[in-house]
Amino acid sequence: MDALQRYEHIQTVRSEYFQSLLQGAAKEGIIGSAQVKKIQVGLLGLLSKQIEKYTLGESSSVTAESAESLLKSICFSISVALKCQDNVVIASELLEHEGIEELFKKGNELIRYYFEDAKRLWIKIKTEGPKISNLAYNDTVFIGLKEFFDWYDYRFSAHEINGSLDYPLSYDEMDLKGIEYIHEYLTHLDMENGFCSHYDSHSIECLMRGYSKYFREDLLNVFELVLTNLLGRSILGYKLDRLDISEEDREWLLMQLKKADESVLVQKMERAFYEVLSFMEVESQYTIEYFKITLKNIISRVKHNINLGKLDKVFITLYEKEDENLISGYIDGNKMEDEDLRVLIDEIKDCRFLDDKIAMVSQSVKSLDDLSEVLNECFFEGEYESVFKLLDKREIQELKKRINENKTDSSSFYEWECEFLRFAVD
Amino acid sequence: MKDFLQIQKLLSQNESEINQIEKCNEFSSKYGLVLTNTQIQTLSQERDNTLKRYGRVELGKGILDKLIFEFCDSPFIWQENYMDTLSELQDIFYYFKNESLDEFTDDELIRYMRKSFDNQCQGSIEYLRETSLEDVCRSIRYGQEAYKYLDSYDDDLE
Repeated sequence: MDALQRYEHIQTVRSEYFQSLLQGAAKEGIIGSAQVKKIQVGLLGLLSKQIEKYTLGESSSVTAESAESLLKSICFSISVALKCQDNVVIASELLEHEGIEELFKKGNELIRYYFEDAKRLWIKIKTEGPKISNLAYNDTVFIGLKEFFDWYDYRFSAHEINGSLDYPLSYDEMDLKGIEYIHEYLTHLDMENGFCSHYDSHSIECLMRGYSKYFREDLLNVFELVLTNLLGRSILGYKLDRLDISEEDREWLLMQLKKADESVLVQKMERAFYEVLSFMEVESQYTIEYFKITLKNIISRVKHNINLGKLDKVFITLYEKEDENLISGYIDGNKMEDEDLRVLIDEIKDCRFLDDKIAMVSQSVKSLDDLSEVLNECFFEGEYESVFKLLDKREIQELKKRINENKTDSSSFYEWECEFLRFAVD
Repeated sequence: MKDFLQIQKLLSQNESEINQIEKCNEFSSKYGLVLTNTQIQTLSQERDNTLKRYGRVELGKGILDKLIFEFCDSPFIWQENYMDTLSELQDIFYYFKNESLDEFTDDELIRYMRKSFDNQCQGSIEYLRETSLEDVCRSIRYGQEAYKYLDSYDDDLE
């Protein structure tokens, strides 16, 4: 059999590149059994060294789980070194001729590079990315990724991902591990954010609100919503500097797309897609390829919804006004420790001036539970309203809900609660 | 993982381990304690079984030599019970490495075992296993840090 043909038979897996390459190359006879044995012994030597480093030389044995994790981390590093060749032939030759320890070192260097690059992307996303009022997005960017960068340890658990990434990308294969996954995730998120940053955060929020009244809690991908509406506007022949699609536009789109057979529909969508790309001045081939996958998903969603006879969940009408009754998922701030709250209450009680009392509340009280305590203990008739004015719409709504839920009859209301209910009505 | 660990057997580790223990014999013979080659091999085999039973992996030389150095001058060990005691101590060691959530280093655990064995346990392996170490490991699992326990134990002895 031709040598190159044998390489073609090797099927590699992205998440376990080294293992799959070794297995394939051994099966095809590209790497001899003596070399396979040498690699295995080399791995064992590496594992032994890693165990010693892991335990700081203070323990000769580790649990099987720790050993397995260390071995996985070693294989991950070697995979990174081999994968950067981007070619099975060169990677196999490298595996055959290069020492396993050398590959491990190279892998670790690359991992360090990926880590720094991913961190740069993360900081860019945090500082320059769109302000999106979505829990999953904000938790991922500000909490999950921070946890990852704080705890990632390339020496012993390079293949692991600490911190949860809840925000769904428009397309995520999830077949990578460790820093490779994070790096790819952040690269794609940065592309999506770059695309969305052409529109102000208010328009994006209205679009999200139009998609779902629970847009703050829903697991939705903002980029996909924006791209879909832009495709719709492009087909309608509208300018692409806005995102809105009206009820009539949607009807027209449904009629037009319903008439077209499948290939024409795909053509229309693709034409619209390239028009959007040229409007956005997207030139990077890598970015275009990534967006194309989303286009594919959108096309199949459009087809499905045309069959159902409605496109209202595909092309979205922007919804400006927030329905206050629908405000949900209010998340209270951190409650103070009991002792700290007691100290604060004493301090406020000692204070003679209302302005100072208000300043102390706005500085120290972060949760509605604490605020209720403070209102109970430290404020009197005529002073309450100044405190209530510190609250925003969502907080007023939530506090009102809590007061009404906790009381069975109006006689059990505290003085400030009665005044608050009057204030909330106004 | 299992495939890789089977290669461990390919490495001629046993021979070097026997050499290592033979060197220990030179030291322990001062206290009238010597292991034969067969006994060393048995202990080595028992170590493999113990590691497997407790789900631990050890690629280095093991802790038998450390146990010998620490315990050879114990008043409760003599030639007739030497091999059996070492075998039990080896088993206890790996068991309590797990039970203490690996919070003890090898040296700390062996030192603690020796002190308990000679003092509190008065040479009773059962007491060491069932009571003394069990108590420490339970404290560690409840959040007590290992070094604090060791320090307080040292103070008690002083």
